[in-house]
Amino acid sequence: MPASMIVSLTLLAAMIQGATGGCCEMKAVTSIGGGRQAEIKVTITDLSDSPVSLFVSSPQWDLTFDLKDAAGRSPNLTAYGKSMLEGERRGSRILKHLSKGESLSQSVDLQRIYQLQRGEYWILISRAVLVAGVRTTLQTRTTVDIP
Amino acid sequence: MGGVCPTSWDVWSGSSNISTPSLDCSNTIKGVQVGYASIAADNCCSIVNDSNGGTGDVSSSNSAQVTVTPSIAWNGNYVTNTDANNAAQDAIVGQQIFLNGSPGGGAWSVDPTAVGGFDVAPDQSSGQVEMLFVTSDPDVLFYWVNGGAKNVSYTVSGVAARVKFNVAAPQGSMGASSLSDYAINIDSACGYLCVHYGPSGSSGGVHFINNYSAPDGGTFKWVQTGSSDNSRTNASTQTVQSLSCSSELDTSYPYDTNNPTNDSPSTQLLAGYSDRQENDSFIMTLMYQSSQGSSIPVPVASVGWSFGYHVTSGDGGNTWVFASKTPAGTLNPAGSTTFPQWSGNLSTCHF
Repeated sequence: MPASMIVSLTLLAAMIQGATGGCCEMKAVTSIGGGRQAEIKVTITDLSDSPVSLFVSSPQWDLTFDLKDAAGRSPNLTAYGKSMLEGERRGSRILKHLSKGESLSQSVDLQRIYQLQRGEYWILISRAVLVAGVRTTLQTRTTVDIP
Repeated sequence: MGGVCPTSWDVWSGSSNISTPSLDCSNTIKGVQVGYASIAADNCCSIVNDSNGGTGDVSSSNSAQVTVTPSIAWNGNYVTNTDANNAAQDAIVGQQIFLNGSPGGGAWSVDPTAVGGFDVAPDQSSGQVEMLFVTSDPDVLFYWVNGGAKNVSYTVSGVAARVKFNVAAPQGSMGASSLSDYAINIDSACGYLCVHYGPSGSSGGVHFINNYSAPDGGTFKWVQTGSSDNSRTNASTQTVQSLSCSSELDTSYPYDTNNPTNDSPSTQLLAGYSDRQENDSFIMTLMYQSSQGSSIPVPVASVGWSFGYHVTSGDGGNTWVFASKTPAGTLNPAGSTTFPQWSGNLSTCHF
């Protein structure tokens, strides 16, 4: 086991069946670090022969999270989370292109954005990609168990 | 061996570089400072070759001249050039150069452009270059930023040890281009209503390409810093808010490691406002990090670019029209030795 004990390692992969057909695999892995970080790493892999592009800016803007605790409640945002998610979004964006088999990963510390309490949270993650120039939203689910 | 210990010594006249040999009664003359001195003794002492370079022979003449010269070691190996034909040392830009001068108390001189380091905070909140301050410390650590023939000297009491380096650097050029004002648009391409500069096809609003070749198995990376001036007007109160941020990191460090890379900046347009203006200026820097251990990334080339817009809304921010657009225009990248430096992140620069 690494120094940062992995409390939860839930992995769900979702093949996206959008209007363009299944283009990509989206994986999400959560881990709890020693510094109380609840990191979620999201990896998108191009499985198609179609050109897949995506914008990369700040991961907390590129990735959309819908968190629910066991009672179905959404956690409150931290001050940083409010500033990032409730304010105006602006900044540079890198347009990246994935070839078949190529992947792109982004990570976010959920504890920096949400006031997470002890217990398990279900997370719905969404991420926009461009498949042959058409905007498509990928989704997958995972959980994180806050000790 | 044996004999009588030296009983006196005389400074070699005509020189301001004075050695002070120590006489240890074991037929050894030790030069402990840079310079020259003669020593007179009574039938003692043999040839001397001590670690400081002191030499002397009083076995036949009852006198000796002691000479001590400073030296330079690189990673424990003496590299001082004793004549013009000595081979130069090979190095790579950004490679850590750690030299030790002997004896102590000397002064270093390092050809430009060299720095003492480049520090990026673990959370990327700051990036700063360390200037190279040479002191009388016998150790000096630095990194060359650009290539070419470089000289280093270490001077003690007016006598210098010198070493020459041939520093290899990436060779080539950096390209950059931008889209014109047709690529600055208002729509929901961001997933929400926004004004954005590009993309068009596979190209961002601005496009950067690295045409450099690496001098060793190192890696290139893009780093972008920028400044942003903003204002917006509340549709109900007509209150104008302003926001300025300068010298901040754009997105993350590095901005990208792929070649080519691009930027399509965007800004969300919110309901409740009647006017939004933004003028951004950026510096995109291409950096190279040698594969040598303990190396730092050094700037290779850079280009400055800017982009702006002014949009207005007559219906409280539901629909917007352009009052003006300012695309990046012609870009002129050039070789650079200027490190990107920042003390904040543009992603947190928002109303």
